[in-house]
Amino acid sequence: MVFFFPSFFFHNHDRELSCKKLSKAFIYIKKIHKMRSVSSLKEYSSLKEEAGNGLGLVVHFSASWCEPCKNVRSMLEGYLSQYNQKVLFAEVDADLVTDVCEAENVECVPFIAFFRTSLRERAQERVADVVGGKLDHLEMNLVSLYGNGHDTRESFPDLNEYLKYLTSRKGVVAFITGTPSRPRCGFTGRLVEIFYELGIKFIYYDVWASDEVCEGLKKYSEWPTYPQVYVDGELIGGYDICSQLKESGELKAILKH
Amino acid sequence: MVVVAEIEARIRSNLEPTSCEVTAISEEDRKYSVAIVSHIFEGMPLLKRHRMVNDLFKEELLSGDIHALTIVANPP
Repeated sequence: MVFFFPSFFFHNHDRELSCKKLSKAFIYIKKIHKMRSVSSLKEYSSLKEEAGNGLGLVVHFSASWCEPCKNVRSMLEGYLSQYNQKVLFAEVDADLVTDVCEAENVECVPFIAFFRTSLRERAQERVADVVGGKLDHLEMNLVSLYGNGHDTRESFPDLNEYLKYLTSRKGVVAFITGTPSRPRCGFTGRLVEIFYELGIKFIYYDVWASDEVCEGLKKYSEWPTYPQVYVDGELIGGYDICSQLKESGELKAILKH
Repeated sequence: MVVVAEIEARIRSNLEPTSCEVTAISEEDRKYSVAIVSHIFEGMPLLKRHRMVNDLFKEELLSGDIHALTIVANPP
């Protein structure tokens, strides 16, 4: 991208001001689109504070000698523009920045930690982990936690339209309490185990992320508890039904798998 | 506070079960298990059966007096 300004457009002073603004804009764009490299605990704290302004944060703990880390890095870099201004992506070299690993209780690489700005505390809350280079789990968590980059609640005219959208997304959509790697309820954990056991691919929505969705979906579906599992916008049921359908051998077919 | 006897009574008076078993999985956590056999469920899809049972306890489930109801609902 090249800008050409005929010199007669500016007095010298104006030109200097404009160039400074332009430079700052370039720096800003570059900063947002880039994978952040974290080299100290102080930097890491600043990063989390920056993400605390309503953003998501994905931190990839890696090492130079780690082959699967290259695949993770490559995949995450592919998401940078999609989640521009919504999610910050960072990488921590686990060999060099051991105090960040200790602070986050990370003991292996690759390890990907997902954060969300907590409704209740205006701080970064760690909500999901992927241990190892499981690219399918990486993608599942990205889509589940951060949407597709432009499908936030504010882009829908009302709650019902939003719920209709959330429940009708492609494939199996599970509304759960917490996340697969950090469930907040036994039923959520057991439901996820069923999906993993049968190889059922799914995305989830953590109803703890939104009181509006948590309460609204109960009315929308006339189903008073979580988890709730949907296919093509149709409620299949909660844990009990999925468990019984699994026992009868019908679950995969009903989930169109 | 909800008690097992109350859950059972409401099921019996609404679903005409031939058998009905209610267990407190954890009274402290407000988790209960119900196993119901009733002619009402004949030909009824699983989701509808569960919804029928849930509806009996709609207020308690929404208010949190009942956190979770584990349901087995089958025709004879």
